[in-house]
Amino acid sequence: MKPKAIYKNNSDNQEHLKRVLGNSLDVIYRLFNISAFRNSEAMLVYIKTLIDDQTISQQILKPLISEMPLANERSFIKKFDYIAWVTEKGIFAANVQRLTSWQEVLDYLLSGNTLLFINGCSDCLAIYTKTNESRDLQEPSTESEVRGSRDGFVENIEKNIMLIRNRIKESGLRFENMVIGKKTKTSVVLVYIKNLVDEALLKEVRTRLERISIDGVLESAYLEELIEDAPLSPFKQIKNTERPDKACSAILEGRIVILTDNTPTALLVPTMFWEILQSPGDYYERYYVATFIRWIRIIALFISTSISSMYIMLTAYHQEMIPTALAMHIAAGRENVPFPAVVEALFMEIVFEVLKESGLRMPRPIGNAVSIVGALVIGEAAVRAGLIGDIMVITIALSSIASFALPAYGMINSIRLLRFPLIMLTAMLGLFGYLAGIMAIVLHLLSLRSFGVPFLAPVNPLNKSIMKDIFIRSPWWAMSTRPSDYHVSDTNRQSPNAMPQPSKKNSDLKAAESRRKTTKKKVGGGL
Amino acid sequence: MRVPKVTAITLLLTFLIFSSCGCWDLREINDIGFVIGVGFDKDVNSDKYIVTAQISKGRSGQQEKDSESILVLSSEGTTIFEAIRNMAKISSKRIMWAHNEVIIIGESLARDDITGVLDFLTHNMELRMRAWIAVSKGDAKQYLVQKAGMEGIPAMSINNLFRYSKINGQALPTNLIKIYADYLNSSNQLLIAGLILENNNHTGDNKNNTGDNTSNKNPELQTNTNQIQLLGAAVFKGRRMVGWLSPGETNGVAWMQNQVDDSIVVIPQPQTVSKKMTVEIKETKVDISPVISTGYPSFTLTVSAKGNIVEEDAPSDMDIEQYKQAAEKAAEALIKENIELALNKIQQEYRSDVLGFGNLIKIANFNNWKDIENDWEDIFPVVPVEVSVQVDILSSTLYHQPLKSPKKADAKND
Amino acid sequence: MINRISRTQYYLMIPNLLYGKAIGITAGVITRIIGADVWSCMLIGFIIGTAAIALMTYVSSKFPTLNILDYSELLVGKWITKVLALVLCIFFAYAYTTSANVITLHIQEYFLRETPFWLISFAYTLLCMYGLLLGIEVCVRFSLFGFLSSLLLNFLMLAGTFGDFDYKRLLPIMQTGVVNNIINSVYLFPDIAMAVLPIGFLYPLLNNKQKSIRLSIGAMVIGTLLIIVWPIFEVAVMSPETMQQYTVVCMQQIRNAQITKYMPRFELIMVTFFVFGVFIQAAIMFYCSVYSFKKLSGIKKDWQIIIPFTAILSYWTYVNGIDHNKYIISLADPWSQICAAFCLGLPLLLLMLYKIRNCNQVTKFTAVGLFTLIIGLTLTYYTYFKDESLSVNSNCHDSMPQINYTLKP
Repeated sequence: MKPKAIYKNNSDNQEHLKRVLGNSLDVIYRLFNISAFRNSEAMLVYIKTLIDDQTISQQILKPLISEMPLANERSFIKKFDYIAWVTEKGIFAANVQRLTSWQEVLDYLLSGNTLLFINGCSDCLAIYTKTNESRDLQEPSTESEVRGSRDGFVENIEKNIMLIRNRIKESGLRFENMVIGKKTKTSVVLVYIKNLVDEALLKEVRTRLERISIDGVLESAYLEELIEDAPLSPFKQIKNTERPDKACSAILEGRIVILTDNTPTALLVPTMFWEILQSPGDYYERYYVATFIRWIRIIALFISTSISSMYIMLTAYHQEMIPTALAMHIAAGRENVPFPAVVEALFMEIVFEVLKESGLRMPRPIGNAVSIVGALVIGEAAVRAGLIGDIMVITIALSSIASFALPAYGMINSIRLLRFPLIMLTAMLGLFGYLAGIMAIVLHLLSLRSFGVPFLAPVNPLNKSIMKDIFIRSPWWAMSTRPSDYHVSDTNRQSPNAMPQPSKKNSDLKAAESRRKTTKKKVGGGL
Repeated sequence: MRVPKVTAITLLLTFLIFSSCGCWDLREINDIGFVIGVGFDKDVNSDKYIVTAQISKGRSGQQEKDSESILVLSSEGTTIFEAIRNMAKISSKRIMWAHNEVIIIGESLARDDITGVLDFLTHNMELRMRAWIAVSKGDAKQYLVQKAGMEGIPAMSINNLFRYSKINGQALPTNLIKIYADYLNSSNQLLIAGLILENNNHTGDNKNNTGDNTSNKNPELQTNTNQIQLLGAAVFKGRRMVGWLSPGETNGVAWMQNQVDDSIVVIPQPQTVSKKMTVEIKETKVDISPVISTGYPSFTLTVSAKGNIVEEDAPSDMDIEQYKQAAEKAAEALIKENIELALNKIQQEYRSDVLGFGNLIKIANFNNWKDIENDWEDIFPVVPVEVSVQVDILSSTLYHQPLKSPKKADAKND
Repeated sequence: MINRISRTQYYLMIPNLLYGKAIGITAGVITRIIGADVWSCMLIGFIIGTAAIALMTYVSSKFPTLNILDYSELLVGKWITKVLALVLCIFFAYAYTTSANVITLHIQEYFLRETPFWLISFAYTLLCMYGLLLGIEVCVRFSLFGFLSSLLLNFLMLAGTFGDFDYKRLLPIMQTGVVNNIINSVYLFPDIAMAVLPIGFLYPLLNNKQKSIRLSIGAMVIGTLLIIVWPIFEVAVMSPETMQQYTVVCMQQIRNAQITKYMPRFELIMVTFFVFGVFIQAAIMFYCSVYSFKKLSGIKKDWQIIIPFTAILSYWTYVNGIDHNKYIISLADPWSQICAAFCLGLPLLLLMLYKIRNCNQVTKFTAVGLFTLIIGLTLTYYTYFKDESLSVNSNCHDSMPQINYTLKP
């Protein structure tokens, strides 16, 4: 028999709570008397590990025990609302909530609130006393940039919200809370700007999140996998980031950011494929440099998926395409190798993947030496032992490392795996296999959508006016509209014709110029 | 959910089918021998084709110092394809023709019938149509075993000879595209560059008779100083070769085909006729146009060239402008003479339209061509060609005036 | 998901539908008949094709949301539409095999010589099947990449063969006469039919149908420009006689191309860029065939038709393409004439039916009957009574040499 309402009696409440929560050592029941209520008994229940002690003693106990003003005698005759009196005149705490049902009581207690039960009152008061302890704000190690802010999201969702609020001081910025996970009750916050975001998209995101029924959400990746459009695809359709500036730029474009409690990773929806080429550092460097780096990333994307297949295709099937001198050199290098090119390629790919994974997990003190030794020695020794040809080492090293030139580690990680089917197809059917593989991948990409937005926009369907940020990084004064693919209601980001130039009519500058000229004449002359 | 399931099953089946069948066209690169140069001969006694292939062995850094870089294989068969398949009897690697640069047709085969060779070279997908093609004086085989040039692989040296043939001016860079197009054309006859293997006594030294010219390490031991030279051209009529053109005549043909950029003209000096001077030709414009009238067609050939004086063999005290004008006249006369010599030989002796005159008539007046097409073989030898040459000498390279006799004593003796 | 194609995708799809076969195989077919005039003949063919596509778009624009089978049902009734659906199904299936064999021929002759032919045709059909299972819009979206790669291929070919361009081989222009050029442009119609007829099926998917006739004509002009460069360069670089020898002329052209010393022939690159465009052609033919069958049989789910069709079409591709010479000959006669009849006749027929849609049955039947009679007579005349010397097999044209080795002295 589970009573829904809270008992009026403190000891009943305590018994009930002890039954539900058991004998955990951090559940504390603090009994005291409130002098202003004719010394009626009150009980504070809190979970010690979640709260800040100072708050309880300074803001709850002190006023209740000593400083609360006396109530009028007459008001005790009628039904006196203890909780309202305490809320209005008693407690110094900033954040209070009145609770009426046991479910609420348990939720609030386990979320770090302190509960105040007063004998004779069937409601209870929850006071927010949670500590905000978390690690320091530091730059995320996987997304570091040369120039840019050095703070990153942390595990505490309040601090993350603060980071976003600090950057966007717009009144339309909304933080919508949802609780997901039956046992973890993780709070998931949707962040968006009200007048900018597409209402249909918002509704879709909400629907998908509400549809999730899982027992625990430990990381935002759980959410990612559960709300994707095409969960079977190797391409990630939701981008994640730990940098607040990236999240804020997404919000300013009219997208939605999903923050999850206890993870520093924020999710950005919707996403396009070309974000694999974009990093925040691009926007802080000069745009020529950024454009050049974008092109390097495109080449790196191509290399990381295709170079082993091209090697196999050119040396095993279509030797006529290689320049003659190189062909003879490769042939000589492979003279003593017992394995066919495919086996070489697959063997070395697997060895490099093993090296990479072990490098990730190695304890820091041993890490550096062993990884360098491993890579160099294995490559060199394998060639010397005749297991692989020397060009193979270069090919595999390039293809393994090229994927790290792309800033979005999460997105590129599964694309790397496409390398293996391509190698197999190339080995079976040469050029035709490779082309069939590439076409199947492109067809798949064309059919993907990320929350209704075509994944390959704006290249396909072609929208030239918003192509300013894909293959080149246009200067800021040229990007005067927001990408309309996200169906935002207001596409003007800044005023057009914003290109800076020296002002023509500035009389101060002209005066300074002429002053400089006259001084020169005086000083001038030969050496 | 059916479509993903069906797709998954299809993909799995596809993978299983394809991977279990095997890779048919897979050839590892170290199992292949790359043919860089090929020669075709015909054994007139047994009427069999002899195919000689110069195959590169491919050297990596370690092996470079020791062994030779090429292997020459030769085999015979009743057709060329059979001869090549017979080569598999002696070749340890699978022979691949895709990197072939040079095709040499032996004289014996050229004088017999060139169709088999041309068909083989264009019928199969492995060979390149941009390969250089030449007719060799004598058998093609000796040209492929001969050590030549400064490159590791001799056929690459012959390749480079073709690439720089314009400087020489006495050879034609013929490639298979043009030859095949001419072969199929109804009126054009073939003109293929010629290769000569001659003992060039001015290379190396003759003191030690130890073997032939095979070692690059001890050049002083070179004795047999045969050099492959790209010189002259072979004239064909129909499918057979009918004769050679000498280097001078080939120069005339090169002028007519506008293949003489950067070549030279050696003319007698204006003042001292027994001594020579050299003019280097820069920009050439050649225009051959038919003049159609009733009766026989005729042609006008206009050549205009610009040149620089690069060498004078004797001093001269002429003024530079007069010097240049005299040189221009001498150059014009020499070029005209070369061209007319070539025309004479081609029209009178060989009677074969290697210059494409028939095509020019066809372009100018299609109907007229249709009338005379069938008799073109008889008309061509008597077609008059009017040659006019204009040479414009621009400068004397670095000199402002001709080299004057420096010593007073010599000037008296000149 | 809304089934929509954007205007750009539609615009770029049409050149892709024309590109693949026209540059190589059709150029070879026409050269064998009229020699160096191949480019002017193809140009005339494209002009007629532009008129055909404008007509088809006009007819389709009268019924913006219906595809060709739906509105012919409105015009002529259910059972005749079923006959039309059957005919179109077989037509598109054969068109698919001709298009797929372009690729399989390229690959089998030049790259994978030992691999069994059935495997290549099966693999290619599987790829088209995957594209169709994802939806026809996905295949049409592919057209941007197809167009870009065709552009790039054109550029590479120009760069590689520019040095060998000899304009004299093209002269004199229209040497066989204007009338001959016009008559022989029928051999271009297999390609044009592949562009004109699918418009009946794909037009309802266009998202913004304003000024669609202008769009189609513009697309056709772009396609012409892309394609016409190839016959011009092929004739100028290799001579017409060389072109006549080869089955796949474009590959021979690209084998003659050389960019610097280090890239002597880039047929690998050519086929890489080429496949993207031809794939769209094949996928759309497949789709039209499947859709016609769907209309014919009334089956609701697409995949139930696509998967059996894959098996049938891959076998048919194998059968058609295994003998390369027969494939080329069958492309010329009678397939070209059939395509011309469909391409020009079907839009005209539908237009006529639209104009007389308010008349009574008798008039309708008479009109249809007369029309079919005219088309049939033209076809018969053309097939049986045309000038024998202009046949693909005879090679006996006046000024072109007969490739017969014994004739040369």
